Amino acid sequence: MSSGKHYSLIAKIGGAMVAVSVLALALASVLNLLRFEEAYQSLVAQRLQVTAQEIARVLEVGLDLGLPVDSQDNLSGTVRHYLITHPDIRMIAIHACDGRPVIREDRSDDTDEPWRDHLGKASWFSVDPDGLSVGLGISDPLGSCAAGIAITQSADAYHAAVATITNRFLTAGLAAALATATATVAAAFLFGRRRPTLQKADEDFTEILAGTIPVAHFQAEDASERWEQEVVAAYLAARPAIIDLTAGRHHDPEPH
Amino acid sequence: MGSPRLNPAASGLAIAAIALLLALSGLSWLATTTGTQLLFPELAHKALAETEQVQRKIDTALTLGIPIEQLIGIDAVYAGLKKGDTDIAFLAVTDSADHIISLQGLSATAFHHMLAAAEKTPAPEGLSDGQSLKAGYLVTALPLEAGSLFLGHDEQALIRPLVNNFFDIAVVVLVVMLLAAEVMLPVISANITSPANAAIRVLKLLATGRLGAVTGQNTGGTLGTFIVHLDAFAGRIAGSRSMSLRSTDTVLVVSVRLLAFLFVFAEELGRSFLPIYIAQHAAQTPGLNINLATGVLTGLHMSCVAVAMPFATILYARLGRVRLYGAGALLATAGLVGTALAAGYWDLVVWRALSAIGYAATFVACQGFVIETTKRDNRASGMAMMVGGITLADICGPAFGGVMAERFGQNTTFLIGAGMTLLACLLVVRLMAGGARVAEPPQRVTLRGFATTFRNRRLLIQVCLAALPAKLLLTGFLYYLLPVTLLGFGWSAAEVGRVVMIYGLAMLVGGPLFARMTDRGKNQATIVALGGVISSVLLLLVPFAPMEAAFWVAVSTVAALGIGQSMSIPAQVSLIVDLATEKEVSQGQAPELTVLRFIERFGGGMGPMIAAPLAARFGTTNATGMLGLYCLASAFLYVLVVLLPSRRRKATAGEDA
Repeated sequence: MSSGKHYSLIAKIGGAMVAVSVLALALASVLNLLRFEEAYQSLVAQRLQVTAQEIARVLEVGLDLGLPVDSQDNLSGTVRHYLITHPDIRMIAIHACDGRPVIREDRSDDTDEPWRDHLGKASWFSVDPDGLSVGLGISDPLGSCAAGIAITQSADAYHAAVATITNRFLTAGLAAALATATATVAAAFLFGRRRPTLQKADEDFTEILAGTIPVAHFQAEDASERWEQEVVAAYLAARPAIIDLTAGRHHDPEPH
Repeated sequence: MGSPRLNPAASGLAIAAIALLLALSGLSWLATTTGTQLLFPELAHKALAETEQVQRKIDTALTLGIPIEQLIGIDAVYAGLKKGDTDIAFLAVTDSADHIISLQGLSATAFHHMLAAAEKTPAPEGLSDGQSLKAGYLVTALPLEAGSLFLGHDEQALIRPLVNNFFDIAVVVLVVMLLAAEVMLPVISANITSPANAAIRVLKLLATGRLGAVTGQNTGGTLGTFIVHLDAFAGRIAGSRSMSLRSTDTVLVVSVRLLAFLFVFAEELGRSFLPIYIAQHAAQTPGLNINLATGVLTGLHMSCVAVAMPFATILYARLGRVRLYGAGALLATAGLVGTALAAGYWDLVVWRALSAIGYAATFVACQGFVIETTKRDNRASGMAMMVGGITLADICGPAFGGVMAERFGQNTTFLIGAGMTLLACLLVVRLMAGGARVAEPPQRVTLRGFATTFRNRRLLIQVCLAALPAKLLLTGFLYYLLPVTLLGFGWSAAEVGRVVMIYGLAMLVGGPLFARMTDRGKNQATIVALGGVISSVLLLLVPFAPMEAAFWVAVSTVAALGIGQSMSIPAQVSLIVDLATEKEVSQGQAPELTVLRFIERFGGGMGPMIAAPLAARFGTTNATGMLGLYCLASAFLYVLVVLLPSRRRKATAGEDA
């Protein structure tokens, strides 16, 4: 019985420590991964914003001259030029304030319109499975909405980078969890190991109960932990009374 | 004997902690190296796009015939670039003879030093023509129609977000380790400390010729075997003399630590962003003054706790501690889930109130548990167990909640809090179960208690000039003005949480230290006054501090608040104990103490309600200064009304003698 309970204590302590370690490692990995995603998205957004601002400047020159977006014939060429000189960009669109696309150059056959969820915003950034998109709202000289620009970059490189780092974290996290768990279980065994001094006291007690009176070859100071020292010291103090009671030499004890 | 030996328990825990820290260091190293490797090509892309943008602008001017040395507005171009990308370190334009035409962000010497520096080899992947890594910068150099353009990005920019992550991870590790310690404490108590103490008690009785009660402990290992033999021996002797021995059912007061930790931790998770969360809901509800509505709702929780506690105490007698705690934890769970899913301001009012009622019920149940499971001689240490759990939750909750809110969202953070209270609800049956020593509910606040307190002029002065200002400062500044100000400056919830955590740390370190100082010196009133001054004096500087110094100002004011309050709180309690009418005060049962706690909690609720309109009218930093001024004035008034007359009385008594 006692052996089972002994291992149950080790299991309780070890289990709690392993659970806590794995929780800490999992949380640290997730936080690192999220921070990486955030840093990557921020770099892409800043770069696409630069291109969007350049197109916006061309568009604003026309607006300043009183030309509405629909009438700026040069815009298609400008947009196509940027798409050619930036091979990583998948789509550039100029849309009206109600979301209707005015100009759209797209390398793919996609028809998604990521700006639809951000109409009226001065600038925005979104990530979806197909692409990372940024957008700018353009105002006319009177400050009213004139148009919007949206640029989308394929998310393939982003997803590949995230997949690479996720795989590395998973592998390293599992290895770290395994190593930590092994060390923790070893620590739990050390924590819950048998107490040799208390064991000697127990054997001494058992012998007394069996009718023999051995010489006590142990002392409280031999114990490695304070509670064990205190139990052994209390036992040694009570030992003469135990011997007397066992031998029937003692007066009737009082119940407590 | 004699040679120092390793304590197996301490060694075991140290091994586990070191293994975890090593594993986390490995993960962080991996994050930094892999992250840098994968992010660098993107940084290079971005740098090239930005440099090309500037190149096109300058070349347009040069093509129009403007000589390069007469170019103007490059500083404005640099300012615009820097606004959109804080990683940019410098911008330089040189003519065909390499003379500097314009240089922004760097001194001429530093620029020449950078140009002369060797390129980092091997060059990382992703660099385009004209790009190099030199002297800690990613330099992008492009030709102009007549000259060259250099744009420098800080190389450390890539690592910065990952380094910032170390703080978040450190907070996570701290919280997880403390949670582990809180879980381990009852496990070790139940399996080792408590059985060992029970065995020692029985052995001591045997040594004095009395037959002790059977320990009734149920543990394993060597200790368990020993106890089984001890029990069998006592049973055999008792049987042979026809005596009966009662089996003791031990209730572990240490369990209260974990239970107190869980319910306070759940509530503290939202501390760093709650005012902003409320403000967002208030903004969606028409007809509300956002500032006032935010202040009222931030304070409502504490006021509701104060009002609900007397009712919880009445219910305690009927329900008992386990059912009251369980009911409280369920209410708090519902309140936190509702807070997370609230659709508008009025929803939020209901859910926050429900959460506060749950908080009050669990608090009263924990208090009652300590009272019922301790005796006079160990009640103070039982209460210290509960306070220990609450203090740890105060330290970990805001910081951990801030990290969770930043990464997973504010709503999710409240749901995590709900998970914690639900866990507490499941654990309470196991942790609080067992026969009570006596059925003894905590003392509740009564009208008689108020009358007793208000009849005592000195006590009233303590409440009005020391206790109330301290609580107003805590809730008005730390719970409302600080998060609103820092979030307004663009800080993240995680950063605000780490600053709020400093208050708990200062209390944890300063509390026992200053309590000993108070006990030794017997000069409580001086320490109360000094604590009041320390906690408020720095706040006077807040309105004049520049925004760049926000970090140090926030850290120093919160630390001063923690140090000041850790000085004044034990001294205040000590003074009230001296002034109390009953001698039950050491158990926290005097009516004066109960009334003081009630007034403090209620006053605490007023803090954000006062701070919010002040902030709306004068700005958050000025409101902070005004709150500091009020508390400093209270401290000086306290000196005039309490300290000086007391000194004069002592001096007169000395002369008479």
